Amino acid sequence: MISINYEINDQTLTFHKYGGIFINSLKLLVISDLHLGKGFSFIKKGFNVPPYDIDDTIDKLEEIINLFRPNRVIALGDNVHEFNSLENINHKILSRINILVKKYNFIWILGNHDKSLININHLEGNFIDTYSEKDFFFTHIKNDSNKKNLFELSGHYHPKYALKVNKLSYYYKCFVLGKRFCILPSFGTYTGGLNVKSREFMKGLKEKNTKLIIIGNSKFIIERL
Amino acid sequence: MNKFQKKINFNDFLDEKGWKLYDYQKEFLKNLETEKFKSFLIFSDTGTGKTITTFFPVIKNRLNGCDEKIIYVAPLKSLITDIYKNLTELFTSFDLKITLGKRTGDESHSLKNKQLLNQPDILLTTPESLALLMTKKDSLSFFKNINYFIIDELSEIINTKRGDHISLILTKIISLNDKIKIIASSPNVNNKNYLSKWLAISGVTKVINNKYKKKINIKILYSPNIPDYGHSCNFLSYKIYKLLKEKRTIIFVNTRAQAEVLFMKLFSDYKDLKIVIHHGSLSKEVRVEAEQKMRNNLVDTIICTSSLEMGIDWIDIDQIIHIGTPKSVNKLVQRVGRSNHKYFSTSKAFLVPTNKFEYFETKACINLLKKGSYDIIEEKKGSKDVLCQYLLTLSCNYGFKCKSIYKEILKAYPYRNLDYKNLLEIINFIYDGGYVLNNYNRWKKLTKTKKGEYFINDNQTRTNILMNIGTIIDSQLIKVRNGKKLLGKVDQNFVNFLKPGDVFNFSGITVKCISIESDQILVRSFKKKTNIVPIYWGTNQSFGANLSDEILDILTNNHDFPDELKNFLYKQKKDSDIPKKNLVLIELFPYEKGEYLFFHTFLGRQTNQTLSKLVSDHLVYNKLLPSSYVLNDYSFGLYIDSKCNGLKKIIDSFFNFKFREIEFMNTHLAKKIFKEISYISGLLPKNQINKRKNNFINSDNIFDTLLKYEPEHILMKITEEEVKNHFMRTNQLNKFFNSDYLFKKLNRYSQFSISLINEKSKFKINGPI
Repeated sequence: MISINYEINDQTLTFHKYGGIFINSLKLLVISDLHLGKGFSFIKKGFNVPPYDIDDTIDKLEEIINLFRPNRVIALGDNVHEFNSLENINHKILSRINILVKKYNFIWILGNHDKSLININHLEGNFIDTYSEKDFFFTHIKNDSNKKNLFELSGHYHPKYALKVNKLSYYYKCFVLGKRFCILPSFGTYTGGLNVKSREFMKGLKEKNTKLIIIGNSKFIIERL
Repeated sequence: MNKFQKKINFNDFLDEKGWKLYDYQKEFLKNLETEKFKSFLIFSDTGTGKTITTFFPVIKNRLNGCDEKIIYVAPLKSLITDIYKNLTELFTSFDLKITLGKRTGDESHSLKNKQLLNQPDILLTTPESLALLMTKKDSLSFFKNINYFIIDELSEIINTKRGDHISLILTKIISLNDKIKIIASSPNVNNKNYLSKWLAISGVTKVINNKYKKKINIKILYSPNIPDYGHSCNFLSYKIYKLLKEKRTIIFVNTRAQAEVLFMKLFSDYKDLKIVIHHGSLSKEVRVEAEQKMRNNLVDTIICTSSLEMGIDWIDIDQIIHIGTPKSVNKLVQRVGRSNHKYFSTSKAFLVPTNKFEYFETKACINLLKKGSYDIIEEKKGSKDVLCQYLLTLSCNYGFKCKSIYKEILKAYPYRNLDYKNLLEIINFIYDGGYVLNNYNRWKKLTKTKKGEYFINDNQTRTNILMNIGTIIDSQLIKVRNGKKLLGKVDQNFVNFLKPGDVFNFSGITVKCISIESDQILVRSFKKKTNIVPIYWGTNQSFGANLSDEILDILTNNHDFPDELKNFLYKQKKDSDIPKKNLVLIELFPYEKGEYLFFHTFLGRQTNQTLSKLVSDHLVYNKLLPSSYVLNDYSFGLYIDSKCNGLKKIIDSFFNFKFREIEFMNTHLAKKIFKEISYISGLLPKNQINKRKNNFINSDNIFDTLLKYEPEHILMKITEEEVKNHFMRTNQLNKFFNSDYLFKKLNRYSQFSISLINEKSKFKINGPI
């Protein structure tokens, strides 16, 4: 199964296994935490990890865009891993992204990793702190402070879930879904995750009655947190 | 000034100590003088003075006025500490001006720098610290002064990655100084030839055998209330207590959890015992304190894991108690040899089986010991991730050229068949990654000079390399703190199942977990008795291969057991059956929400590893999804989440379907092995200067990416090679497929399978969703 539909406030949202959400009524695709250039930040420190994280991230991005054909794509921040990552990414790769960005009207929400980016002009599209459209509000870190009680979509935490079976733990990326908010898992290939049961995660959450949409290898599972 | 004004020679020295040279020691010293051999290998059982023998040349020559220098390498820090103390005492009592230096991870930087400026006559060190020494500028003159290079307990490291590492380092040191003589010692093993060839880096090895066998008096401590499964020995703690009274004892246990549980039991029930605990999870201070108390007779009993099995030379130990089986004859000899650590004395030991099946293991171990059937050390091919790390270490100081380093590496026995093409790929990998495509700007870790020499590029990379030297990859360890005091470290796996509020035993006290943070657990000491979390952590041991056969033999041919064990076998036979030679017993029974499929093969751990992979592939092919497995030397069991029908047919088809391609790279084991390789080869950091959460990449992610975009990369080749080494045991596999099998469907677990389900850590196959 590659995606699952879920009704929230009379809206159908489609959750994709790569960690994207498609808002059907607005034809809007939301993704989060691409961390472009994470591989290079390692290479520069002397750890020769394979430089293919960026290919893989873009391959996945193309695949999910081709599936939904959205009017607009919103990336919820931490789009780039380091302030100087953009200058170290090859032009070929950058132009592959920029073709997508222009065709599908990307909006880049700024995350904590995107602060004081240099060579920001290497990437097309609009850079803004928050964005809202109809009933939805888009920001990097969940803060519940939007005035009109809009449904908030955010990233930042890279939620993952530990499933325990027969005394072993298995980790899966997951969406965290509340009444008025949703936290998306990370999209970028070399990104890790933060256990939703950990204290660090719970501190940012505060809310009870939250659901998890867990992305398994072959199916989705919906659970209470 | 000098107390001994007259000059004494080596014979006087021995007389003074009341020592007489044994035949093997004479043979060694005689051959050492002849210049015919460059390397020497001493085989002698524990407690027969083989370690001190390796130091005889330097003592003898010093008494004759010669100035000689030694590097001594041993696998354990506790061994080094002990030798350091013993040698210091020996040298001071004779006023011998032989300087000693210790160089392990525990020593300070300033001390290590002093050692470089002022070389000690004897440097005691570990393989890892020796590798670090090579990166120092002054190490060249250091190595040029060396006369002897000693490797203690060679059989312990020879077929590990640490062995590969030492072998490579030795080739370099010999290329810098070809006068060095290598001396190694080892307890008796079955295939001495392998060790001797491994050592022959610069000429033929002279093998010296001590034919004297130490007398061993060994008994099973048995109690009729022995449980069906589990590893606690609390059921006969009173019997142990009676043995302990008035006797100096070392109690060996197999896991750290066992040590903690037994300590708590004895400590709280028998107040008159003077007892301490010692294992690898405890902090260095706690361990040193325990060792000192034992040494200074402040306590009579020490409970320890393998942490104290080598070298510790407390002569006045009366007896050894071993909880559970040592799983290998060599380990048994080694541990038992700790008691009455004198040449002609008899070692005394008790083996304590903790569950019914273990009784047979214990008996098999003793039988093998009586037959003198030692472990077979399996030959290991040199791991290429170690080669990556070695070359990186070289680039920090000496630098290397492709062709000349190739010739040097070939002299290391594990790498004698290395392909030049492979070496170039490895060099490319450490040079700039060696990837086909580059999506980022090229970044070079090393600089290539005009003469074709490779050197490290910058200081940050250099520091990162130095911080990550070593080939032992522990699973992530989490600190346990009581307030500010560091109690020790525990395995990440243990932490996964811990909640705040849980109570567990650690470092000999009962503690309550207050909070769990990413890199530490905070605990408080806890007085009240409540439910205690069972703790099962500790590493898997290596097993002796010949043990399985012996157990099968005992099960079929021996009927001289206590009644409880006869009943145990009777129950097993009634519910299921008893495995025999050439008959594999297969059991299927419900367990928790799913079912366990068990194979009792008695073919050894590695064969079971391969078979569990083959069976699980076959199950998946038949649309059954096993999620995890357990295994040991005798059996393996696959856990299937759902109820399954028609398994008999699936098993039948499995046995008829003998030869198939094993897809090694899609196993969970491949990812596990890749993780180790990525740390050893320097792909990922074990330790970093600025450790932040964002600066972490999961090795599984890298594995998947590499498999998708460049499966031919050298790292994947290394992984495949290591995985295959892990899996392939063709002879044993044929034995399996040629034997008969018996399929039994049970209503609940059998006697033979339950202890395995309860004891071993489990391994993942597929995610359950």
